[in-house]
Amino acid sequence: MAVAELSTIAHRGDAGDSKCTFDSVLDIDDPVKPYSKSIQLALKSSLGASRTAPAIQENGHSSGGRELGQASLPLSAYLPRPALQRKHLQARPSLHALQEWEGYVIEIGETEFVARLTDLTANAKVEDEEAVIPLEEISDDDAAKLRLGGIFRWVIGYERSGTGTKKRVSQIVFRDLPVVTKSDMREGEAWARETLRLLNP
Amino acid sequence: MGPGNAAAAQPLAAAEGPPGESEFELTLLGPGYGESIVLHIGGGDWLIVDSCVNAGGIPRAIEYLAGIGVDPGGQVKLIVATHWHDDHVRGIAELFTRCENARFCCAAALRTGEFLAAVQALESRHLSVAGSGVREMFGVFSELRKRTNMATFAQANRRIFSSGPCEIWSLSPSDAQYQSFVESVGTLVPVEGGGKHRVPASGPNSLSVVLWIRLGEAMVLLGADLEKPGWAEILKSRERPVEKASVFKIPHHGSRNAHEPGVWREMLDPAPMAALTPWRRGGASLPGKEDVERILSLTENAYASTGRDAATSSGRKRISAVERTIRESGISLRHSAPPCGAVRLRRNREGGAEWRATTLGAARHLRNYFK
Repeated sequence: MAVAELSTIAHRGDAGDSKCTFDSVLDIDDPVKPYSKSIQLALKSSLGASRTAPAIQENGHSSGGRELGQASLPLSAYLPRPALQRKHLQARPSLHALQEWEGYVIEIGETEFVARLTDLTANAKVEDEEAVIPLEEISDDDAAKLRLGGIFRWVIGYERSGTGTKKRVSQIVFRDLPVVTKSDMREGEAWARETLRLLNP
Repeated sequence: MGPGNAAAAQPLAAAEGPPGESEFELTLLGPGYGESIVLHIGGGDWLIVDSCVNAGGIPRAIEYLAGIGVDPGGQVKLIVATHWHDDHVRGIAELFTRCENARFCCAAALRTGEFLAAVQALESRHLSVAGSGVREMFGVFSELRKRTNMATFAQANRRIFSSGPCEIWSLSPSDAQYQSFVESVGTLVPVEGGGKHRVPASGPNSLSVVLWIRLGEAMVLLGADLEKPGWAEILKSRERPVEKASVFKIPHHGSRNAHEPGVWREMLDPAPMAALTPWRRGGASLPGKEDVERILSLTENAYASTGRDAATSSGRKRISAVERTIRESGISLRHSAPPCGAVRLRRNREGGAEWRATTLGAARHLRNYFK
């Protein structure tokens, strides 16, 4: 898939899903085939700030320097359009992920944080890379979620605007993790009781 | 040997076959993603203390044993988790599942209802693709629910295993450490309405299980990650063994915080065989130069499972656009684990026999740690 064309994004609240907070991002040519979760996640990040690498024109030439702090396309740009507009979808904004990691925070400093990364693109089985990430690389919204053990996705890819401009982007998005419910607590306690019973027959 | 175990065999251990029936072996594997010790107690029986995994997520102990022709499923009799920090239990759930004849041992404090409830609430649904110490313990206890009566719980001065010439005693955690853990377990317990999270691998190592292993006439002291206050309690105990050990797994990666001179004086032979695994997180790493000098001043027979890793890049090749973006973003990326090695010690069972040290893979004498 050269560039993702996006037609539908439905927000999902607490996912029990560990990998994304969007339910479906559909391919226009094949509406039942969901796009990779990487793209879904990268899209979520457009709600906050993104860090944008030099813009690349269609011919591959750079159109400018790095645009740190520049807001990415608003989520509304990716939201579903009426069926009548579908013929214009070729020009709609899209994101193509080249590389993605999942990370968790192991240290937080004054100007940077340290994270262990699992390379999802390489299908790594363990988190065998460590990154030192400047705090300026994350949006204000995500800064509020920064904590030891916090889990995030880091996506590097090309963002194509509606006018066809292609930008290389690096986006770090912290996950909204599920909330512990009364039911979780009850299940945990019941599991513990049963485990203790089995351990001490 | 099951097909999974056979597939795990790697060249690290393939240089030699298994020890003889009457030969003892202690091999320290690491760092990989932590450390693991395999121990041959004679007669083809093995024990495993702690776990770490290779890049494929396979426990190093399985990889090593399979590589020397040992069947982990039939020959491993005991697995011990000295504590539940990530760098000591990664892969231990899979290890326990594969070692079908093994009992499992961990600190008695991990058997509390509060800890188990927290473990289930946090890890019954995975939050992350990456593993964690809590997830491993959830996996182990889930397996223990199927294998009734296969758990042993360690606390100070308790015999946890005995077979032929081998006896194993846990020297810690003490009653005070047990109580301290029970009081602090509340920090793990999820709060209703609060967000789930990956429990960070931090905090004191006071719950570490230190092991005293008697192999015929040879004594071995495995220090886990126990720090100074815990060692002070062991030294004070009137119930601890009176013999001296000829092998010492240096606690907490050689850190000064875990160095208690009385241990070297009262519990170890002069110039014992000593081995450690390095550790690194963010800008911090162990052992440091002072640690290496201190250890070498106490024994010339000191080894590390790998050298200090000075890698500044991840070592993984990526397309140029990705490499360029990483550079431009100011993010530095590197391997989180240096190459794995193993320090192998073997000796015959007969009295007076000497331990023979072999370094495999990236392992080396401690004096070469920074080279």
